[in-house]
Amino acid sequence: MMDLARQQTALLSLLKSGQSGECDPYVQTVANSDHLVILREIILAWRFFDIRRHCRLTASLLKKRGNFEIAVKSFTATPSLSPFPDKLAEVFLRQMSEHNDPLVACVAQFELYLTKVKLGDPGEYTIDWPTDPVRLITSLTQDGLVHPLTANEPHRMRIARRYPGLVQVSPAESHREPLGSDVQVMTDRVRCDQIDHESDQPVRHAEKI
Amino acid sequence: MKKQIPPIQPTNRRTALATTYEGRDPQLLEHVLQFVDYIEVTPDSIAEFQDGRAVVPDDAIRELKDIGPDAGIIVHGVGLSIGTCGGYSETYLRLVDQLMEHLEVAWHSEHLGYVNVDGQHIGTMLALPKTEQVLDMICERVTRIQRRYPVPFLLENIVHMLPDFPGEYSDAGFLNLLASRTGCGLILDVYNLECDAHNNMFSIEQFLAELDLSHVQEIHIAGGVIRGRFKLDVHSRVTQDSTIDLARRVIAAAPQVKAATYELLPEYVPKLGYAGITAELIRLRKALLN
Repeated sequence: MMDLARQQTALLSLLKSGQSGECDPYVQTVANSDHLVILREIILAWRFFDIRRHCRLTASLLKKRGNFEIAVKSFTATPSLSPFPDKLAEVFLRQMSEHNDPLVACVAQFELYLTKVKLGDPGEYTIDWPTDPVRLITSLTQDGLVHPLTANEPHRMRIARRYPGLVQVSPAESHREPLGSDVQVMTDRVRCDQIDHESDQPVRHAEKI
Repeated sequence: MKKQIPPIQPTNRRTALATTYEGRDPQLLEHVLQFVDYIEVTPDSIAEFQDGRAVVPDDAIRELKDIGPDAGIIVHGVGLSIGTCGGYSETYLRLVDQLMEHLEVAWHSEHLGYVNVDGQHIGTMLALPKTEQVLDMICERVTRIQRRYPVPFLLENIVHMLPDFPGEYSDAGFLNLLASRTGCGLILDVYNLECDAHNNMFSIEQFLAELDLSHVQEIHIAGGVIRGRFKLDVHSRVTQDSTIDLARRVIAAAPQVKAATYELLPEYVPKLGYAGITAELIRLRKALLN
């Protein structure tokens, strides 16, 4: 019989990758069981759900782009993921902030920075958007359509405690006319613990298994 | 000869009703407080990261304090990982420390399993091999936790999501020894038993006949879903009649049961709705406590 530590490491490897270098009979039994297949699917379904719940806008945009499952599957391979959903969300948003789709990157930065500032971070964060973020984020919070990216609408967004609603947005050409009232509505809507009851029902994801 | 579970008999003993509450939903709290005696709080779920460490935020503690005499508080975690070979989670226990410091906690409980391996969260909870080596390890850890907190500590049977390791003890035999050696109480999750029966041809009758029910201090009930050939422990639905029947049998036969807890993940609160949840609590109160 292999020792407990080695057995647990082998099972971790099976859960993460479906494979283990161990030839121990019990580990082989697990490796060949349909239990392992379903358990790995369940773990992934919970990751989908956690990300949808805690990174609502980024998840919504990724889904509309058809990239959500790929992004989360890739994220799941990240070593040492936290068991705490808000920490998990932070790591995911950091990764998505580097996404090669500039819109996904901007939305992820927005959720990341807004959460930080809401939690008391005294810093000021700037995001340069290739489009009007108010229209986009309002559309995402309402689960509406994302219109094709208009490349000629650059906007600058600043996020800090000193701004009403924590956010200020200006057209990039001038940076002079903040779009205060719309942004207030937008940040009121973006509560990172919100669930979109129409599109993000957890049961639907469990039922996919 | 196997011991038989006694049939249901009327009892004067008062078993309390509890349900899960993960904070920041005052409307839900207001609805459920009318029908429960205890609120079950999961430290991991209400924790936030502040300055790089997990803490129970002040507003969450305040909200629980404000419950006052309306209901008792039960702390029931998922992140202790008492069965991790390398040691249990001090991060989790620091959250419990905070709750114990600020709240009147009736008892503290966790799961007999593990969620961390080699410093990584495995994304699920796995059952332990029922061996003498593991029993010794868990008993020593339970004793340490009992010394740390001045309230009873209970451990819960979990679903076996992977094929069982062929250990030296049966499930019930392991729980009996664990409870008798340490004095810890047991939570019997009867929905988990149903999942094991469905998924692994586990015999609930044999388990209950072997289990020393005098150690059982709390019952957990829940409803989940079946996908493919597996019944999933997802706490997403109302309780099935079969689960309630099983809970009634256990409550009738277990003299120390203090509470029956209906568990529902906060993610599924919108699915059931406040009215659906209160209707379920009324149904459970009628079925289990009268």
